[in-house]
Amino acid sequence: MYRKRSPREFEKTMLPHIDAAYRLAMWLLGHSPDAEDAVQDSFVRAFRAFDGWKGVNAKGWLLKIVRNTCMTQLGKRSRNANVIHLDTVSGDHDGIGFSDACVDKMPLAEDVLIAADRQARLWAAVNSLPTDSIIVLILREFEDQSYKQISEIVGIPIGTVMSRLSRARQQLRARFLAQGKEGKNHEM
Amino acid sequence: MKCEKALGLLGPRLDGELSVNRERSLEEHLSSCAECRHSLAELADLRDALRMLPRISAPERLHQKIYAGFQAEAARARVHPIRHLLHPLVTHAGALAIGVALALGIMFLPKTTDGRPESFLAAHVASLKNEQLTQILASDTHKVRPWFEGRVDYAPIVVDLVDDGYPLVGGRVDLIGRQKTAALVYKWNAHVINLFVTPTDEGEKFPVTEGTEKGFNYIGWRARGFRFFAITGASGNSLRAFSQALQARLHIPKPPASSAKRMKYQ
Ligand SMILES: [Zn+2]
Repeated sequence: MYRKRSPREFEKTMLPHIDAAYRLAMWLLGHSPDAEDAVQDSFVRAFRAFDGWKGVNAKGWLLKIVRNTCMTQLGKRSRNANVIHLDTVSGDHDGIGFSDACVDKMPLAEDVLIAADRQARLWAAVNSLPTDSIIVLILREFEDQSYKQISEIVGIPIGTVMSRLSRARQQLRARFLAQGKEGKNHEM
Repeated sequence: MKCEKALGLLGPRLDGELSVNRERSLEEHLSSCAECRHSLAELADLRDALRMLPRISAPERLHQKIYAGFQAEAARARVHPIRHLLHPLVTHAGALAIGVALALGIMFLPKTTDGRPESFLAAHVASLKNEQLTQILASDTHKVRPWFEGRVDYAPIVVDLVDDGYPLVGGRVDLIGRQKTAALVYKWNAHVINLFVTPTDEGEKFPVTEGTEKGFNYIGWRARGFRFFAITGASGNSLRAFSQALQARLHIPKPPASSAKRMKYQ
């Protein structure tokens, strides 16, 4: 089996995106060993399929594999939970904790705490979105993918990317603001 | 343009995904509609807030696992290019073995990226459990040394110890912390000795470290600008003898080639 693309090329193009792959898996599967397994699994798959990479947008190509691996995992979870539709899984997974990610790095100044509180609320709001919305939103805002790239990663038409993204932002805005109103007794 | 339509275009406008024509008609609407301008500003705020959320990065152990898995896959692709076709079962067994090795190895993985004994221990255990003991299989130091060129960013010292009873089996590159590190594999009787060779600065001090961890013996020292770290399942005494033989070779010129064939019994 002749390989067009060398392991060295894989190392140069794909391995720099471990963090991005992990971020996506964390948002989709929550703070769990599943997320790490999914990323590891995705890299093995990516390596084996590497000859099929067209040579553009390495991160997007990799994230597509990560996304598929995570969705399979979510499908298993929902079957285990005896839930039939994938959509209904959305939003109620373990979630990724804002505090896990950053709170211990933050100095304890008053205004920083306020900013951190705002960020924690935003984090929670993103986390409460349905999986479909989370995917398009984080590919766009955190991983800087274009509509066309998102459509390739998720496997949906560009028009659908646009409407999902728009819906995701509306939901986020509504939930973020809603949390802000009841946020007086919110604790970190 | 009506507000309803304009609102749907605000996101794509922020994302730079509008066609020139649509953008122009949206701007026209915005110039005359304060409400949509307000919505746009709100959307932009939300986007900025999102982008300022801290980026998570993958834990160190995941970086290491993925790198080790990649090396195993790469070695398989190099050595057995048609193995996937011939022996799918063998390949699966191999993958399983690597998985088990990684699961075991991760228990020993260090929290920091420095070269503490635990990091070498993890690499040693992993090398024994998966099929990755050697990436280059050669007993000739003149083959092993150049193999590291381009694989690690230094030229490790590779010493021939066959006359001392420690034949060189080969070498491989391990990730210690995030540092690609040259690992040399020697044999002593039925035991494997992994020797990690990393460059050090003159000023850095590594006192001779010696110890036992999880049943493996290790010894580390510094010589000729390198840090040597040897680890094995063999006894502490034989490891010490190995390290003494190596240090002796590092300080005396190589014996003439003719003596290389002389077998040594002790
Ligand atoms: Zn308007």
